[in-house]
Formats: sequence, C-alpha cells, structure tokens
Amino acid sequence: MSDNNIIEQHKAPALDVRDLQVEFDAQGGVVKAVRGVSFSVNPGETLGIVGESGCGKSVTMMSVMGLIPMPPGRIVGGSAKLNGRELLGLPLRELNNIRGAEIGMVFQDPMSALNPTMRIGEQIAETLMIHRGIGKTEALKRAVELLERTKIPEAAKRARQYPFEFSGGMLQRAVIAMSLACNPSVLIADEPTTALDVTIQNQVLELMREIQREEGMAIVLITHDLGVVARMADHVTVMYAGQVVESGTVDDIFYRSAHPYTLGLKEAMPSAEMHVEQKLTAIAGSPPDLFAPPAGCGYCNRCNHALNICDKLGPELIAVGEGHHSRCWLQHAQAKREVAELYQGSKRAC
Amino acid sequence: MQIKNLQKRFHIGRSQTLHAVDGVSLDIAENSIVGLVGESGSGKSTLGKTLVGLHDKSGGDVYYRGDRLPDRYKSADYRRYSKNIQMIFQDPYASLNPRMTIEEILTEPLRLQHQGDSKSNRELAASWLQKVNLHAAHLGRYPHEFSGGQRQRIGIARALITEPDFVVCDEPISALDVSVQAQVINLLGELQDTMGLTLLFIAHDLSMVRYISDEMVVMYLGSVVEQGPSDDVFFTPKHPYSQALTKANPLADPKQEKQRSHDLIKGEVPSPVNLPPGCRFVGRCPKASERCHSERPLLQPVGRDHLVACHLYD
Repeated sequence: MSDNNIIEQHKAPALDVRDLQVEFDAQGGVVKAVRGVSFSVNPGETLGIVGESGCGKSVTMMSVMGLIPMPPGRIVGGSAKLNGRELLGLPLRELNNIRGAEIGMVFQDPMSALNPTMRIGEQIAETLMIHRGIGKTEALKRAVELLERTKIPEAAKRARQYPFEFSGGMLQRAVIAMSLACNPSVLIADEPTTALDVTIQNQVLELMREIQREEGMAIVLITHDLGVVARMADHVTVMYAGQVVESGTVDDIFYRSAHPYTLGLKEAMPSAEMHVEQKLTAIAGSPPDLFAPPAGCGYCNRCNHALNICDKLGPELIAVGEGHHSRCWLQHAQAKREVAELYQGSKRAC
Repeated sequence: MQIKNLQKRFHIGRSQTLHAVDGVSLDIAENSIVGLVGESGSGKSTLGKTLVGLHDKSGGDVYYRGDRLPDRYKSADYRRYSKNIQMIFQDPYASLNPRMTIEEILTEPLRLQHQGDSKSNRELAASWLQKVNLHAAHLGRYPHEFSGGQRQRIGIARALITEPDFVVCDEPISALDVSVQAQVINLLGELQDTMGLTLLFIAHDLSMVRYISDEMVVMYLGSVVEQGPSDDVFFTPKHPYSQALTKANPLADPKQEKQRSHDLIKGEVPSPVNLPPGCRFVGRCPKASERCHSERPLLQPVGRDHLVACHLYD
C-alpha cells in the first residue's frame, strides 16, 4: 500500500452510519428500536456507544452487520458504509465475505459465541480457511500464533482444547483472537467485558488497546459501564430510547456533558467523597415504551429540566461545541438563558 | 451477627473437596452495613447463603444475638430464624415465582410465620409496595409485568416485610442499569436507616460498596484477606490483592483513567479444589516470597480496625 493510500484511509471513517432506522414487528404493534442513529469511527480510534438496556445500542450494531432476523426485523432507512462501501441491503453471500474478515465481532458471552463441540484452534482456523483460502495445516499454525498474540499461555496445547476447558477470560481472548484472524478494519465489541471480573476485564481491555495500537483498526465498543468508556474511548455516543442524545469526544461527554440524561448517568454513580448519608441522584421512572415512541423527547418524563415544549416536539441534535452535539431543547439558541439558570440549580453542573 | 471460623466445603466426587468458604471470622455490628467484595469464585455468595441457612455449614459457628445458628436448618429453624434473617437475591428475574401474584409473593413470608390474617397482610403488602415506590394497585399483577428495577424493589419488600434485623443483599444491583441502580441503593440506604437494619452487602462494584458500607471485607478464594473501614480499604488498600482490585476498578473519569498505570496482575483465580498450603494469592502476587508458599498468613492489625492477612506486614 502506498503512503498516499494510508493518508487517504486516515481521512475517511472506517465505519460511517447515517440516519439508521430499524423496526421490529411484534405482538401488539411495531417496535421502533432504532430511530435515526448516526455515528462514524476513524481508523485507529475507539468509539464508545453508551446507553441502558433497551436503548437500541446492540440492535444498531447488529443491523449494521446484517445480523437482525428479517422478519420480524426491518431496516426502514439509513446507510452504513464500511470503508466507503454500503453494507445495508448487501446480498448474504457478500455480507458473509465481509463479516469475520473486514469486520470482527466480539460479544458479551464468549461461551455462546463459540461452538462447544469444536476445538478452539479449529474454530479460529475455520475463519482463515473460509476468508483467506488457506489450507488446514497452515491455518491451524496461524491459529496458534493468534492465541499466542492474545497472550494465552501454552497456546499450542490450548488450541487443541474445547471451549468448556477455558475460563471466561480465556474464552474472551480466544474470541478476540478469532475476530482478529483476518486483520479486520473495524472491530465491534458488544459488552466484551461485562461478564468478566475486574482484574480480568483489565487484562482484556489492555489487550484490545495493544492490538489496536499495532493494527490501527477502528473499535466500536458498546457498553453500559462509564468507567470502561472513560478508559478506552476517544469519542462517545450516548443513546437513549433508540436515538443518539449526545455525541462528542470523551472529554466533552465527561467534563462538558450537555444532555440531562448524560448528566443523570454521571450523578447516579457515587463520587469518591460521597457516603450513604448523601443520596445518589437517581433517575426516576423508566425509559419510554418504543411500541409508541413519544411525540416529544424520549427522556422528558424523567428529566428534571423539562420545558413545556419537550413532550410535544422532539429536538434535533444541536451543536454545543466543535464535534459535540446534544439532542436537547435546553441547548437551542432561544433557550440558552434558561439553561444557565437551570444548571445553576443542579448539584454538579457542567 | 458473629461469625467464627466458618467453613463451607462441597464434596465434588472422586474424594475432591471444594473449599468455598475456608475459615471466615467476622463480627457484624448492629445497624451497620458491611460490604463484602471479591471476584467470582471468592466464596462471597456462598458465605451469604450459609448465613441464612440456604447452605449447611461444614464447620465453625455463627451466632445471632448470642444464639448459635444450627449447622443444618430444619423447617422449624427456617420458621424461627427467617423472621429476623432475610436475603435479597441477585437476579430479580429468577427470584420471583412467575406464577404468583405480587400479593402472594409479598404475603408468603407472613403466612409462613403464621402472622396476621389475609386482610391485614394484604394491607401490609400494599403499604410495603408504597414504601418501595410502587403502587398498591400492583398487588394483583404478576412479576413479568415489571421491569428489572421494579422486580428488585419487590424482592426488597418481600425480604423486609417481616421486619428482619439482618439482611444479606447478594449483588442486589449488578443486574440493573446504572440509572436504576441509584434508585435501589437509595431505597436500601433509606430503609436501613429507618428500620435500623444490619446489612451484609455483597457486590463486586467497589465504588458502590465503598459508598454504601461502613466496613469493607475483601475475600479471595474462600478467605478474608483484608477488612476495615470502607474508606481505608478503598483508598489505602494494604493487601496486594485489594490493591489490584482497586487499581482495576474502572473510574468514570477519562483523565484519571488515562493517567493511571494499568499494571496488571497476571493470571486468574485458581480452582478452589484441593488448595495448596500457604497464601491463597501466592500464584498471582507480585510480591510473593518463599514464606508465602509454605505458611498461610493470618489476619493482623495494620491500622485502627484495619486487618490484613499478608506476610508483608509481619
């Protein structure tokens, strides 16, 4: 690859999703799970997607990879480009060439991501045989190298073992080894460390970091753990009720949070000085029912700062800084004054 | 609650023994919240379940208000002790019977205690629903009609309806979203205060345990490696394992996260089957010496009410 090409690649996002809309037919109506989600991630960077269960963060990534069962699922609109190539609507055969080769995937539960009746080494080799057309002996050799790369001790012996002989942390390393087999340009990790203990989580995150530094791939990290995001992400997208409510650099999100939901998430966790006598600022209520998404802002019934307009008309994403957007009327030009007053009232205002 | 050298062993065939809880001694003062942390396999849940009689004890003594709890509960023992010693479970989906209404779920502990009649129990259940911020109108509903956070609050109401003094909370928030965790924690803190409860709060979220508890106990492979006032253990951990845990605990602050070193402790928790002599942490410890392999360290004071089991502090 010439130098020009490398520079070119660094300009263009590795994965670019625009206005994605996904619905599901369910008993009793249509669930609008993803309602116009856009984000992009550049090579060598990590995008954290944060949100609580049911906010559509996993569905978004599954749709991008064509893993949504259709029916009942349906991609209503939008686009998802991998290195400039449209993914949505690709025929299955072409998708299969991309998944596992250009996009690597790591899921929350490594046990169910692997075939329990196949040896670990063979599963990794299979990826190489299919996507790279390598012979079995050569592929098995490469599989052992990949296991060594993800720091699995006694890789050659481990490659001949079955998933049940691995611990959770080791399995997740094996899944990472498999997802890296074909040098993907994008790695999608959906809650990769949620099932692991903190010391093991530490090891797996550090491994992902190290490999990213060497390979320069883009990582999309889906998680609900703000600590993991703070550690890993360059950019962050906060999702709520099927929409992006705030996006920006990791510092924008943590130190200059603009959306009341982001603020709420931060305040719901105890700071280092707090004790049980001081109440945590809980977010009351629960997310809206996406069978009938609200006409206005999805967060307004839980929001302390809601204005009259909020339950009638949903706001657009409003720029609050360079590359920093928030979907909240409080940031609208005409509401600015009121915002300052409101945030003064809040304990840990931005 | 006084725990003395508690043991829980599981025999897993071929004359192998799994030491889930291996000689834990702990005094839990009245009206206090004690946080119990450790990784999976450290025996913290087994300890909690043994205290409420869900597991038989293999050795050691547990005293509740001077009264020695039986090693193996019979049904009369459950009736006698479960009024005062209760438990809140981790999984709000598995811990409520899907075929029972909320009224049946909440009044079952009262019925088992032969307490009240159906009308007064119903009223009590309704008032408890309000205490956990649900509506009395929810009594006729079934668990599947509630979200995870709501179910967890029903589980709390069920545990507290007999007005116990001692409650084991086994990872009550780890299955919940961050925004809902705060609701449940606030509720527990409030009820602890108003009812004068003593809580054993088992969790792996160190920040939350430090926040809610007065005292923190760190377990590794069935034994206590460090215990002391929460802030002391969290901010100035002494045992190499506690240090590794607090270091690995992710902080929601990008600048701090990116500055701090991520020196990793290597390896994983070894199997608790047929444990070797010596310190349990020796295989992963960066500071292990000869002695750690042969001699098991005992808990010893390193500060005010601060105990640590490590040869470094001999």
